[in-house]
Amino acid sequence: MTPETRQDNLRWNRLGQRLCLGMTMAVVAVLVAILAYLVWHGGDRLTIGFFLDFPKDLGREGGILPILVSTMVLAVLALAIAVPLGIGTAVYLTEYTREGWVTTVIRFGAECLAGIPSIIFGLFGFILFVVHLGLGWSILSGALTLACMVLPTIIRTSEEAIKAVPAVLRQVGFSLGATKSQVIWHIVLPQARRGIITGVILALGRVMGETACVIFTTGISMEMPTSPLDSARSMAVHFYLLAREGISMEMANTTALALVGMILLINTAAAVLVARRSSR
Amino acid sequence: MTPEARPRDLILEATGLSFTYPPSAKGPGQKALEGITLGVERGTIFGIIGPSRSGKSTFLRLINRLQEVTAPGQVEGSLRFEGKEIFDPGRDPYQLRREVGFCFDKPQALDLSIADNVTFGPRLAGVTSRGELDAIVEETLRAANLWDEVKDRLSLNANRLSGGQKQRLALARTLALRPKLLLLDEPCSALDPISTARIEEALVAMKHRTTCILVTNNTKQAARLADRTAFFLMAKLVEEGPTQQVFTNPVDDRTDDYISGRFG
Amino acid sequence: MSDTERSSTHLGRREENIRLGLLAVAFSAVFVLALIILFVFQAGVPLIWKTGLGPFLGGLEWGPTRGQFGILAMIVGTIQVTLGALLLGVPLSLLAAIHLSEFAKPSTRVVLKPLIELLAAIPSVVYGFIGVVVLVPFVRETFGGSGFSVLTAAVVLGVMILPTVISISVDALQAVPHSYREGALALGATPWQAVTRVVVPAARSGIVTAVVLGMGRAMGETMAVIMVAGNAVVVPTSPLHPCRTLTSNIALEMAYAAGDHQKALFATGVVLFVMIFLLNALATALVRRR
Repeated sequence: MTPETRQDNLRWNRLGQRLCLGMTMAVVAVLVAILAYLVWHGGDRLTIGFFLDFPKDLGREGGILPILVSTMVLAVLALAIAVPLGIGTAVYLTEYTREGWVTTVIRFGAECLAGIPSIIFGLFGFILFVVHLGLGWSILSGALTLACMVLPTIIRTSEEAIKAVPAVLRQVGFSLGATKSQVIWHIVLPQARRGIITGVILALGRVMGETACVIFTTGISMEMPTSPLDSARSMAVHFYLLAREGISMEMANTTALALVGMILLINTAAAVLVARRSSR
Repeated sequence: MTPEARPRDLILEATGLSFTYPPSAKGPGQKALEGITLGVERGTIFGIIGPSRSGKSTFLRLINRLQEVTAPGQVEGSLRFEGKEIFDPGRDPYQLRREVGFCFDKPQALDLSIADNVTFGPRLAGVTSRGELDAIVEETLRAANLWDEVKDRLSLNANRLSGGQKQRLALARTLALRPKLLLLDEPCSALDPISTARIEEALVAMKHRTTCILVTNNTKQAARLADRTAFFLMAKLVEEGPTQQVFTNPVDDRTDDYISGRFG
Repeated sequence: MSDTERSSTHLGRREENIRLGLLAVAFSAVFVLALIILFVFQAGVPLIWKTGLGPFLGGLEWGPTRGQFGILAMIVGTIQVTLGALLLGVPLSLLAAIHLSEFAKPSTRVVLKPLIELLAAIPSVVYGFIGVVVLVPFVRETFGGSGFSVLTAAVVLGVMILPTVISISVDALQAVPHSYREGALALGATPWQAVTRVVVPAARSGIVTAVVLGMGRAMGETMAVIMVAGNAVVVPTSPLHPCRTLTSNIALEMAYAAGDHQKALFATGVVLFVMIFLLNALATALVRRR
């Protein structure tokens, strides 16, 4: 190797590493910039009252109470449908069957589902739940649609978490007289709960932030929902309408800050919870 | 009355027992056990020694039908627990596993508190009374020589215990079902000498209540604890007899070679 | 004996029922996929036949109220915006992934990776909003035009795919055995050479997966694009021209569409579905072949 090549190599090495560091910093800077923008422009209006007041004048004034409630109900209902199905699928794939055509079909289905854009879920939810099943624009239609959308996420994360449970723990269960379902219920699932919770939180974030498929299935009513068959407006949809229709950029900012804050808070809380559980 | 004259009360009896793994794409099924015939007397510690892959663990896993959970294969011959055939199609494997406990080679704590680890088996079996469960916790942790170390922190997550403590916890967890027969698969292979000694004390102290079959790679451990010892080699039982005799005056040269460390 | 027999068969039947229940549940994802295909295709495909596949895919006129259903402009718009997003997002993601996996201290990595993954938790409407209030004026003042453009949409989408591509690429790079790096370093390679010549090629199938998933996300994104792309139904000839994507087309008009117009939007969904499906199939084939 000539000294020049050597110099060259070292220069490239330094340059390359710095470039990578720079890009990483740029990505982090984007996150910080977005959060800073929202806090800067929406922070002063974000009070307790904002969460507890009803919206006035199409959302130009007041707060977001019914919208907040709708968002929560929608998210909880969607997860209540998707989580059992997702975990059940993951349990079947990992515990009850060897790799074969059944698992191939199920995995293929879940993968395809994961790749479908949310707008197509919106079309599907509209035509099936809103129109064919006659549920109308309602929280139930929205929750069913969102459940379909996050199902593959929950299947994948649960499957990974369950696969990570050491095989010998299952044998400990069997050796203590447990049946297969008892081993799964009392040993495998508790052991895998960290991974499963992480997946559910991920899904919760998606459900709360989703707009495209909610707007066509849940509608845009700003009233306080009294039943799952009521039309409602989620925070993401509210924010979209405020900004897109130019109703109030200030309120849009504040709503966005509240929504992002809630999602990030849930994500962080889950991370902390998981970390503390594992050290206990 | 000499021991030889007393009629032997056998808790476990194997007659011509063979086990073959199912054939795979790579070739025909491998024989893990071939024509094993032996009896285990109630109230004793029965040692099984032999090099790895000699079939000792498979033999142990057949007794409480754990083998069929992980790698089912073809069983031939007969294996009777308290006179009843273990592989009887009508036999309830879950009940069998409650009567025949199993202790694994590596310490395994369930991700639960110490107390909940111990009561795991009884709770599945339907014991719900708080008092009864508390009594089981104390009794079995004492039997496993662990009580004094953990009595003040029974609600601590069991994964916080040391390896040696976890293994004694595993022993207590198994004992909580009050098994008649306890299968130990190299229980001290991952432990330090002090922890090993504590486990060994516990086994000796309880052998009158709970018969033990102890599989071990450590021949000295078998010599210390076992009343009778069997030597397995390449899926076959080479010889079986009173421990003293197997270790000092074996019938078969291969036993002698193994015990004296010429192979293994 | 009869007692244990009964309990055994009773337990056995219960266990079998649980197994069958879980089997049924396990097909839920497949079932949903089948329903989606059934309902969306049923609503959309007849209109494609009525219009003709050629005129539908190749037509430049989109006048749904006048019975004109040509979505070529939207297809081109989707492809342009997606490629633009990849052009911007992929190099950035790969370099950041290399830093996180290869050069960052483990203690830094465990902080930065979750932080970057938080980007995925920000709702797409928020990205669109930031695009409108920050990026659109910037593009307008710097490059001219309205600011609502292919370029703006590509930048917003490029940022949105960062967490997906980075996260999966880091996992792929981390999965490369340590001995590969040591082997290269032992032969006198600089760390940079070891990474670019050995580690990245070894992780390529994972990186391809990451890029394809990012591409799928960009192609399927709706709300953020609507807010910044301008949505004019024209074939853009400059990055500064406005454009409309397939997804925006659906979302913009669903609220008031009826009859054939609504069916045309479902047909747009069918085209989008097929494009994404083909993309995924292509990616799977690429990864498998290697």
